[in-house]
Amino acid sequence: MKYTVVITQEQSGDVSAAAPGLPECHVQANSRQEAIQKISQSITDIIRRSEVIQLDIPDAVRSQKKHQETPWNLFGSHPQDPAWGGFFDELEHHRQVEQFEE
Amino acid sequence: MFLWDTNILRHFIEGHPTLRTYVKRIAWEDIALPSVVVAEVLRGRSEYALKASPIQAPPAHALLQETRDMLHCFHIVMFDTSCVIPLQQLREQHKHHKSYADMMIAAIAIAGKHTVVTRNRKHFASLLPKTQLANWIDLPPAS
Repeated sequence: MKYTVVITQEQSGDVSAAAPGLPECHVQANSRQEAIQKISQSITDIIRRSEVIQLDIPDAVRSQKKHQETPWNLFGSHPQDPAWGGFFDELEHHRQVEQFEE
Repeated sequence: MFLWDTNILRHFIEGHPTLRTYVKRIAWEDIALPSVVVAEVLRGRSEYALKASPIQAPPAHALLQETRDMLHCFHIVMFDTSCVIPLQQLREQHKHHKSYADMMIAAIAIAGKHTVVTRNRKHFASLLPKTQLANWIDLPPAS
């Protein structure tokens, strides 16, 4: 399996390598070749110790919690804001002129 | 459930003090937006995003996302099959004298026995009984 590795030439002269998505996989070496060897070994170690599973979290749990408390952060979030005031004026106008089309 | 009309949503984000008093007294789970209002708001923002000039497009799309996130904080009461007959009856009674969106909101309220909260009570006065209408902007709550 292929893993993406980011290899960085540091100001100090060292070479670092990291595997995004595998937080523990970060190595430093004296050369690019050594960095690749080290990160390869690090990824292998992590893979041997890890398993990937999927948990099914019901959406209903999240949405219930989300809707329990009043979102006061929204209240007064756009006072006298033309990007919103003008928009709502347009909606109101649109509603009054719009009719059902048979 | 209290169904907010679009104008109440507007006053919420503008920070109207009377509306604040009402909202503080009522559980958030008893407040909702009818799906008609959600459709109106998203359509307005979407049309703006799709028709914006190159310079206006980035803020237009940012507003679309901000609007989507804001709507996500609300319960939504859907126009479902229980609303069809009330809407047909309202259309028969009022023909083309009423906004179709107003009638759809009223139909949701009739089907679910909800209260419509709006500043435009006159638009709904002939669509709903007084007991299913409220104005949380111009009429302060009883203390």
